[in-house]
Amino acid sequence: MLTSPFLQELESARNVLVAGVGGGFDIFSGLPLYFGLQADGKQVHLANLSFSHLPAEPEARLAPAVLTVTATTPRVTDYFPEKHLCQWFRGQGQDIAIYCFERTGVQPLLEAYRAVVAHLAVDTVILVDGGTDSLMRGDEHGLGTPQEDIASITAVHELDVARKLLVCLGFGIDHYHGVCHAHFLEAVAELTRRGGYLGTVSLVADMAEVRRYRDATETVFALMPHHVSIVSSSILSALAGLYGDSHATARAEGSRLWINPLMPIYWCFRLGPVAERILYRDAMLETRSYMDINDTINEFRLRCTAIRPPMAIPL
Amino acid sequence: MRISTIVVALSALLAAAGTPSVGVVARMFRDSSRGSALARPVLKDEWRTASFKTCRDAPSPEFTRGTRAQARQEGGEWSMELTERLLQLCAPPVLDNRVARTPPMGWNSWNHFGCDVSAQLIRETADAMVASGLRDGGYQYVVIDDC
Repeated sequence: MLTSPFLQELESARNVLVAGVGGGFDIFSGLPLYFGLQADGKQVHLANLSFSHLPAEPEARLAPAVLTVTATTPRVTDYFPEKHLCQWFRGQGQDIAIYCFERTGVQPLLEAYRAVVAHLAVDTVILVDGGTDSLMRGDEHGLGTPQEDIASITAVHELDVARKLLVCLGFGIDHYHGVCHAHFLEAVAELTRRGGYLGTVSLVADMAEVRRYRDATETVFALMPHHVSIVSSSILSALAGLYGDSHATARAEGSRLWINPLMPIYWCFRLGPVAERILYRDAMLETRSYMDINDTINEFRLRCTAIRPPMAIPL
Repeated sequence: MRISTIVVALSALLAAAGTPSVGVVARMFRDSSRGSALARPVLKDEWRTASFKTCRDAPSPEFTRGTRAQARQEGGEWSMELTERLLQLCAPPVLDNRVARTPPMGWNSWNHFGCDVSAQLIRETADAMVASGLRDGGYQYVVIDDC
């Protein structure tokens, strides 16, 4: 009874790629899903748009803009959450690879995604956003940090794969980056009308998948104490039942946080309708570098004559 | 998503390093009837000395007072001592419409360096912005972004 349309959609999936959409720790927000799909007997793989300084390692690249990272990949700088996550898996007795995409334009990113999808023969790609700014279509007052999110969405939308989905975890977190959450809810309503909304899935602390997610995330935090993710630590705080301006990391000092029970909920969408409502998607598709992406967004914002002002949620 | 951005004014960063304050790039007119000149005050000890290059198509609405007497030509360039009054006159016209005269102008570490930023990198970049003339051109912000 009351089965989530998102989970129904995944019933026929056999081989799934769970990929962080916006870089950094987004991949960690996909871990409960990863563990859950594995427990259901599906083949599951991890990927992430990476903020790490990836080593050249040409023999470990399926395409120029993607590196296959494992627990033994050489580290260039201290920031390398994907490698640390592989090390956590190794500690659990599992040697996994994480496909790390370079921060670049949509064309190289699309080539990289095509190479990974062909290599793994996946039938499903699930993009995971830690936060909700991936649903900003471009004319909202605050877009958060759209470069990486929209590049990934634009690229994956072009893939020839049976199922392409997006989940957002962390309602309220992007307020820190200027996103108006009334605009997010308005986008969900619009996607509902377009047949793109697949409901929500709640995470609670006692779920086996969530316990493993917490363990993996906290282990990597301990290995990267100067780069504790505000997004992931906020979600973990919400899972633990904290509320309001509760700071689990000093990195957000000076900002007012709103840890809340809506944070540990996956908001689930078909990727097609999400991508098709992005107002500057056509221009994004042509980008070949990260600077192209910046230019595309800046140019769109300069020409956009109807920026929608922030709205209060009337509660 | 990614998160956490810190913006500092370049002048504040440089003040800590003992560098003089940011000058102004001003438009002025060497002759009210013919063309105009772009003034770029020289920084450091002589920052009120300006050199000029003719810019024929610029309008010349108000700047006629006392400029020619103070300007002198050397090798095709005009130079002059800028008094406080002249600096006021040279400043670009400001519309009282609450709109900034330029976009925020500066540099963002994220686009090139991503997560790999350090105090040394930021200071070296700020120094390079001064040495290359970007600061004098109005690029006054250094955005430190991490993840």
